[in-house]
Amino acid sequence: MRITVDPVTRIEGHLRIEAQVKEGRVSDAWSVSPMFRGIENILVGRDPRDAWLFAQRICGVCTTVNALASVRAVENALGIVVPDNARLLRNLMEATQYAHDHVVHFYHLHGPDWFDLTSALKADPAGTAALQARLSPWPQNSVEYFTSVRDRLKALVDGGQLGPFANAYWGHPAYALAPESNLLLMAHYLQALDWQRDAVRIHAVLGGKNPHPQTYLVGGMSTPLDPTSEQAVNLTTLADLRAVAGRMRAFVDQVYVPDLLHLAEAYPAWASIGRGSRNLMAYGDFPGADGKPLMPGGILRDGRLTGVEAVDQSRITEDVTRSWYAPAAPTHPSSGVTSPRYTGPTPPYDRLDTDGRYSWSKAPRYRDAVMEVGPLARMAVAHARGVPRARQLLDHALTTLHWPAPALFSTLGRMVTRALETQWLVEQLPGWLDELGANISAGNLTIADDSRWLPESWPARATGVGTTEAPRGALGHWIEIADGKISRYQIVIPSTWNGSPRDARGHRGAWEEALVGTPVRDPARPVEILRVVHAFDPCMACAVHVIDAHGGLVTELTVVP
Amino acid sequence: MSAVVLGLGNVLMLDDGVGAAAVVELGRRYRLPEEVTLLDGGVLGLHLVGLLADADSVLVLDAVRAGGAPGTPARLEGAAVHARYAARISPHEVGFTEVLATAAVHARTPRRLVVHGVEPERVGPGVGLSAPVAAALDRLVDAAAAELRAWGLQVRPRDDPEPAGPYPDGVLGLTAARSGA
Repeated sequence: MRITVDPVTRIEGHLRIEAQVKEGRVSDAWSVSPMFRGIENILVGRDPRDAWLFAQRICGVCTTVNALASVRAVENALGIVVPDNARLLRNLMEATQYAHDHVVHFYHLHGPDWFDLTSALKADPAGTAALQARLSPWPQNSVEYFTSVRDRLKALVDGGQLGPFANAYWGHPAYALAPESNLLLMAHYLQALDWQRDAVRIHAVLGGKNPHPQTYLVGGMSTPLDPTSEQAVNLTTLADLRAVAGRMRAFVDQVYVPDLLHLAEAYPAWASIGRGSRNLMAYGDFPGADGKPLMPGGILRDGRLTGVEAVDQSRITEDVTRSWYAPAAPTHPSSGVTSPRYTGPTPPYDRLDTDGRYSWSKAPRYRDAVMEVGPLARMAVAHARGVPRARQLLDHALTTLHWPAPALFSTLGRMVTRALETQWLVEQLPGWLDELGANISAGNLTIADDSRWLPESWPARATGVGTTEAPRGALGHWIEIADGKISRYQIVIPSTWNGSPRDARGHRGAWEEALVGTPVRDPARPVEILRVVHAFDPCMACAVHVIDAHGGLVTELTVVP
Repeated sequence: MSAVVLGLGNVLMLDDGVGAAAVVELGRRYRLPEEVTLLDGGVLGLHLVGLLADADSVLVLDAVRAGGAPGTPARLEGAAVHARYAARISPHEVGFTEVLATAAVHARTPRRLVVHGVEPERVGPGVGLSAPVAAALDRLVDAAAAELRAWGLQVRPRDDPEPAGPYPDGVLGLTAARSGA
């Protein structure tokens, strides 16, 4: 039996999951990236100072973090330390992108795997209002309000304008929320749009342009700071942004986090589905004034939440044993090459030979081990390193949900840690805005170190690495500069870590491993598989193929959930 | 009236970048009234919903596969836009179907929705427009300006446009970023 779900994500790109189902559970899975992305080869020969403008185009939604990783790689190669204002501007833009991305992911991308629009139509608005009051003091709460939302949803259904919900798995027995809860989450789905339009202003003001920011710069930022100019970021601008940050925080504290905990309580089984490879890795990010990251880096192994190791990025290798590249021994990204050699079937195809090479994605490994990256890794590492706020948030959630710590290694664990880190980051925004304001008030308007701007000031050859924690997980850019030009460039994106194919040892990639054991009640409507994969927030749309024990194709269907 | 001119596509995927290039060229060659916003949407997917939410009218510039010779212009309007994007005429899978559908759920469907496109020749990793698509760029930009005029907007050619510079410097913002250093 084979089922095609295309696409799984509602955003740009391609991803294909082949899942073998045996006796109602996934017995094995293969993650396939069916599109070659030769960004590295595009960058060779170009000016390193321009690399970030190309890099921010490789992914539709990860613009800022790729721009940042790129300028950091060049700065690392050239020995540049950015001034304090650039650090603050970068932190503010990155944290805003996180919050924006995570909220959109939960309500608009992942949510419909869990909340059922058709059930919401049956809700008693008074019950939803009471539920909202129990969950948080969020002011957008009245029987009239929830009645109007229900009527609006009903009009959409009656008018056949279900839009992104048209082909979702409504009525699937895997949906467990009460009608009142579904109405609440649908109302917040609608509110999230206005919230993100507000939140994105921080990015637009500091980035100069949206959605592709224009203010990154090797050596710092080009966002002008000037207390006496209307055209520059001044104290009035900062006051405006502080107000935006306050509204962002209110929504995250009173809507996103309580909604997620409420959802988690209704789906207790999902705290043990999708365990995954149970090795976690974070590079760390959001540097403080002392250079130490707010979110620390580290590695946790074998499902332990203690005994964190430092990340030595020189121990990262990329394995191409099962990928469509010229055969090569596993190499560090800084010496890696991108030599495509496609041996798969001519698209479109029904079936891949998953015993051989089956993906355009390489298989990154840390000292030969599979690593999961993303919010779970970041929060667990921060917890293990004893970061007080991370401990507080995570411990509180575990207590509220009556979860033992190992429950974090699950589909719900990934979702809960995503919400908690959003909360943690939006709490930082006012402090960073204050620091920026204090610098401006004190006359410190420096935004870039241009002492290494001119290629004449560079060594003949230099290598560097730039990392960020992208919303989806650890992101690394490796650059080699020779005679003023890029001679080598390699990017390892978080979805390559999480969505990697098998390696030379036959070890599954992170979400291949997470899928094993996932219950599938109705192979024709495998919403459970979507839940597991979506919880990683893959940066690519994806098609899921469910295969029975004999590898036969029974059904093929297309769903835009 | 508020109008957004939205370029779709990936500059790193050869002819798929023609929409973004056209948006930049439109701003370089024409003086546009305040109510028009130029937006290089890249491959932003669902995040575009918020950026389009206030627009009364949306003009999309994009690579559009309709089966003609490379460089052939295409114009789609209203329901035809929804139908054709649902059929994935656009090679970059921007998820624009989902953008439109999500906008509809939020009751934010633009009153007017028109696509001007060009048939691509090559779409794949790389930077640059093929000869027939590069040759069609002028016509696409002029068609976009004419469309805005037909909507009653004051669109006039600039007397002294900035020099274009090599592709894709203007599209990426490279020229501006360099001068800011």
